[in-house]
Amino acid sequence: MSFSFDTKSQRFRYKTGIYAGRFVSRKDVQQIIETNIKLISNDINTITNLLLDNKISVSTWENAMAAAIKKGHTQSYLLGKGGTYQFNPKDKGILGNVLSIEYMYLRRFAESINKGELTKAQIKSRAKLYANSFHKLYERGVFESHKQDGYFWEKWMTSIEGEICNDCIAFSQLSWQRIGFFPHIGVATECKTNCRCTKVYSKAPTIPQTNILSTKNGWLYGSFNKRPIFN
Amino acid sequence: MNKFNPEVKSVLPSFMELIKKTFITDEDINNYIKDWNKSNPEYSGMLEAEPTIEAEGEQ
Repeated sequence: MSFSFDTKSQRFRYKTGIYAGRFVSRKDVQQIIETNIKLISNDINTITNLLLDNKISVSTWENAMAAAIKKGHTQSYLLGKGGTYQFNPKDKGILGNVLSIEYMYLRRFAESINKGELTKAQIKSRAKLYANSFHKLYERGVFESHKQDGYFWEKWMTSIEGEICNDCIAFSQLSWQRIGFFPHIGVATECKTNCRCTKVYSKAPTIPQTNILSTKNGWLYGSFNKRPIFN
Repeated sequence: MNKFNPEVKSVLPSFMELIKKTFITDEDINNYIKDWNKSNPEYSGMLEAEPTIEAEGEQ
């Protein structure tokens, strides 16, 4: 199946097949990210098990982890950005920066393992976190794509499926703000990489008006009942 | 709790060696796309999506 990316709406469209011309739903795109997280999470698990069985050295493990992280981050960012045609040298720089930070954490992790400071369970759970961060990169790609396309406003939308922390709720209550006002998803919130919130964007010349009846924050939507903090 | 001690203590390469790997080449991207198409057959070609060309004269 082939796809096209509509820069006006910042969404993917089916180009061929029975759905030709239709948009790929946001839910489907989220699902693809989650599937990719699971796939790379399995790779990371396999690599880590080899280390824990003393079949590979810490150095080999670090190399394999770095490769898996780079693959997951690049694929997620590309999906958020709208594919390789939208991927420009600036994006390479952004992705490179994010990767350097991840590699810095990976080096600290490898050093701790080398010194024998962690238990097997700690190593396994910490390694898992790397795959979980791919959603963050997808959202970063979406943000950069909108910003480069001239969008002015952004709004934080909490997710019903993922973990919602107090920071996410507070950000969602701030409604529309100038693009770049909020931190990137999964970076500066308490839920960190477990965050599955999203942002919506607008090109309106003045601050977009929010109609409480049409938002997920409204009482009519009933989403408050599903949030643990309000139970 | 038993801490994990690797049987073979390895010397980690310098951090600069690791940082050099953050550079994304065109070859890397091609490989990741191939890998994506293989592992997500239903959505193969998504990462190579061409921009939509709007019909001329359409308002």
